[in-house]
Amino acid sequence: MSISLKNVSYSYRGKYQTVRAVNDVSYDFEPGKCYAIIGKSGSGKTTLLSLMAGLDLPTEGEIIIDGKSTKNWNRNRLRRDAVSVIYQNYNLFPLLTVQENIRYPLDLRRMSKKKATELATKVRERVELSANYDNRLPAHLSGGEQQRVAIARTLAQGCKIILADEPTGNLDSTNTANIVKILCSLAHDDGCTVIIVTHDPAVAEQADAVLQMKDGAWI
Amino acid sequence: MIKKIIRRIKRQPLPCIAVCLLAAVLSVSLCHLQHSLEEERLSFEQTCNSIPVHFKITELDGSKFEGKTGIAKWAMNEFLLNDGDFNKLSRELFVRVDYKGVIPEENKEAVPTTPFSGITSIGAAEELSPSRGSRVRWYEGYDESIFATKELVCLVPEDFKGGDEIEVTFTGKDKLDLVIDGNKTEINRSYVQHTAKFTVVGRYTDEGNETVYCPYKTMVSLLDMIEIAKETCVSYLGATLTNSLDIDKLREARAKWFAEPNPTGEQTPWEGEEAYSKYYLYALDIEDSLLRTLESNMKNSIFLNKFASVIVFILSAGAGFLTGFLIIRSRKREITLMRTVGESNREVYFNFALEQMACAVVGIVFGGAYNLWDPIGQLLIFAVIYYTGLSVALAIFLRKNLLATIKEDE
Repeated sequence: MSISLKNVSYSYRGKYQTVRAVNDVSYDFEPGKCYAIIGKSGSGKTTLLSLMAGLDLPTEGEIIIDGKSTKNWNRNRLRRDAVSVIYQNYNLFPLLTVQENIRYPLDLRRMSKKKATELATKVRERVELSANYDNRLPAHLSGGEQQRVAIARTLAQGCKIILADEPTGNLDSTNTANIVKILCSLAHDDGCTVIIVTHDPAVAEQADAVLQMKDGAWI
Repeated sequence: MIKKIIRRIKRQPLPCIAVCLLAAVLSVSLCHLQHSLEEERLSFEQTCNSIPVHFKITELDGSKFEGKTGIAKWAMNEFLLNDGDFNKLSRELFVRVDYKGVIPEENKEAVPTTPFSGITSIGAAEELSPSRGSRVRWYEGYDESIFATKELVCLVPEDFKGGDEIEVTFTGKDKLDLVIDGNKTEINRSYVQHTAKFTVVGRYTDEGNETVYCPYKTMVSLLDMIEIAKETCVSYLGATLTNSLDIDKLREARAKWFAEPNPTGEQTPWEGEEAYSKYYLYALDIEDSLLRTLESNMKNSIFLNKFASVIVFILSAGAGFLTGFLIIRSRKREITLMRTVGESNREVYFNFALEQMACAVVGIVFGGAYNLWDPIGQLLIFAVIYYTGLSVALAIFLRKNLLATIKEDE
């Protein structure tokens, strides 16, 4: 599934003035590739990622996902079926176990319990977590393990566009390498479009293409 | 969805228990308040009803008819006969209508030996009321109800001479017949007379009063025999309300037919219906001062309680609103996450609303059940719940590893 940015701009009203966070950005992201977006804090990379995730609409220009502008997508459906986001702080449901977290998007699609459990087990194994983790709550996992659960949930969701916002920001170098390896394999082996927003040059090095942002625009 | 809700409740029991308890305490308070308001209202009605409201028709200055002409015949018909408007009202509102008939001044020689009155009850003869120091001694087998009959019985003063049976001769107006016999013309004077034997059924003490009291209907039928019944006057006409709370209807009726008694005797302008202006010759004295005082005191108390109940309700609703609001605020992250994985706003709303509703409903059910049971004071229960919550929270936090707590905060 491809994603194209066409002259995308985004402004929001700050306390004293209107801030233009993304400024006339265009790009075509191809399926099967892993992209890294780097830039300083406040350069607009997280805002751009949020626009691609359908959390809001661009104020100018448009984002085309699977040939259709995000303006024409049902945004709940877009987030459920097309675009999946991995966050720096893992964003797991604190009251659900590992398996329930992974199965969450499948339950939303009203998949049968048996099928959902099978798929959840499969993706859990893919991110190299053993069955012992199934009944644990996120609070009892390390940062790397939590991020792997988040990736497993994304895999279970089956979206072909995976956006990762500083996925390794809270992890040590070993866990960082593991997570980046998994994300890249999603692009290369599963044909997903993976876009990682990062500060970490080591992460960017692993990507197929690196895009740098400054003041809301590509450099 | 229900499974998800149960799962969430099981895994975060404390906030749910808190909501549950809050709902229980609030429902107990509200039920209790509502219950006491209802009780107070019932007690108000009972108390008001236990105070009899009497009224009587008087002269405009509030004085009674005794010794005067008495109430006019047309007014009497209106109040005592079935076709009168006031009589219709009396059937609806009054438990008992008391009246006292007297022989008019111009026929006072009809019973020359003794003053004679017909009454429907002791209440109709105010001079016999215990509050004025009078006392009635009934003979065995008799009581006040005898005045509602048409029997030849009477109540006499304690020192009345004669036995327990007295004979009274009623004499009607004289009749003059002109007889012309040839050249001789004569005027024949004759009287209609009737003698009746009364059985004494009781005696009363009332200084200076020598009246013989018989049932009103008996008196009217005897006077009918001597052809002066139509001139009978009613010197007392009063009644008692069946339900004292109907007093407003009585006041309405008064505004339509009667004046209010005015001690100065001056006639205030007639404000009622023109058709009834003729009754404005009389005033209606409602003896309701006790009821009015009580009614005003109890209404004040009910008003204060209603006000308190509104305040408690607003506070309860505010507490409920704030709790719900804070609970949702504390779970902002969870809500955001649900939305980012594609859950619609409607789904998120129902998830949380049902979860909170489940807790609140359980609390309300328990609160309602307590209210039916209700053996312990509300305050005591509240104190116990408050200290239990406090103790549980303290116990949990004090048992935690200090280092773990510090790390958790970080």
